[in-house]
Amino acid sequence: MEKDTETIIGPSVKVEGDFHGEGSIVVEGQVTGTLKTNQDLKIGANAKIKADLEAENIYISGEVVGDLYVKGKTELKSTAKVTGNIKTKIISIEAGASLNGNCVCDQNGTMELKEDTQKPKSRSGKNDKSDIL
Amino acid sequence: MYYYLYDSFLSDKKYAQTIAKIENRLIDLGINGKVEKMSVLKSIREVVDDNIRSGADTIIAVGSDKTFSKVFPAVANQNGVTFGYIPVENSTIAKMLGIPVAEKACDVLSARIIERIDIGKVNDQYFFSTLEVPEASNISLECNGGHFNISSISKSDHIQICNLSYAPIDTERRKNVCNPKDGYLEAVFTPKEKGAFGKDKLATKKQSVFPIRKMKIVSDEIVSLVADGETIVKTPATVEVLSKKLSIIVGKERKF
Repeated sequence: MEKDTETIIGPSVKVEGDFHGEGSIVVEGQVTGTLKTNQDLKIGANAKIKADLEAENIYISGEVVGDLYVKGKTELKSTAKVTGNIKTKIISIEAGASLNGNCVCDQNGTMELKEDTQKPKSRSGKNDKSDIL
Repeated sequence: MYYYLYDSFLSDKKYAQTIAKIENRLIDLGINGKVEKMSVLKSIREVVDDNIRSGADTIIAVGSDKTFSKVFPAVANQNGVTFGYIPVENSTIAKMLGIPVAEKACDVLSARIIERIDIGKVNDQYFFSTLEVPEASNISLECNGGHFNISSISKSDHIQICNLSYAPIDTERRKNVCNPKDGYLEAVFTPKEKGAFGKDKLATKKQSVFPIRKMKIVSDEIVSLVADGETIVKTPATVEVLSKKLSIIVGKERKF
């Protein structure tokens, strides 16, 4: 996939299953399962996610129920509501955001993870393939 | 060797002058070749195959966008053959390809800027631009071998599978949408909203765009999908991109 290829999950759309992309992803709709990309993931204020997330950087303004595994930066905006564990390198939480779960910030990349904050597994129970769309 | 395939509607007298100008310009440029007129009695695929066997390496469709859609699948099936297009009237496909109308298109053919572009395949039919999915409940796209599926929440989104789209797509967020050289088809979901006088209009700002290589369109009831505004395919349908399948002559003003 080309670098500028972007997936947009708009407010009128629902995605169910293991969604793996290589470009950046913008979510404003509903996602259930797992959502994985090697670039940025932006979750809009009206998005409803029941999925484990994995990305280079994640910017959250909406609702997420699931674990987050972030290689770079995690940003929780004031409207963000996260229920789940976060493993990230850098985290930024705005006043008003809510986080219910454990958070591990591993800035040196040397910190051992607890089992419950390790890389998320597929919620849908299907094989975790790294194929792109 | 050039081979020109004229659509049957060009037999109408009103096109005689345009055709004469095109043929004169082709002779001036030294790219004239064998000419054949399409008819219901001849299969386009057979005619194209015969001429390729006889040494034609460039097949030119002369006519309208419908002519283009009818001829390109026969050329895409062949290796080492280039496809060209001379529109005789205003044409959306020609605009996307940067080809001017009538005799001016001959100069583009002569310049021979060739691009290898993707085409879409739905079941065993090729499509060049868009596959339209009519509004119907319980349509979903199964992608990545069924690992995930995409559906409309309201069940009323306008769904298109695009290779090269003329439909309005939110280009502020996504530049170069539907690039026919990226190796992907774009599944585009556009919700409807109430516009002036209560009429439905497409909310392009709320579009969803999924770059996908292969998917299966499934529905509870059989639905007719329309490829390039012409070919009809029933669900369930497997849709995939054939990367760089077609060699085509384009102009400098092309949109991709």
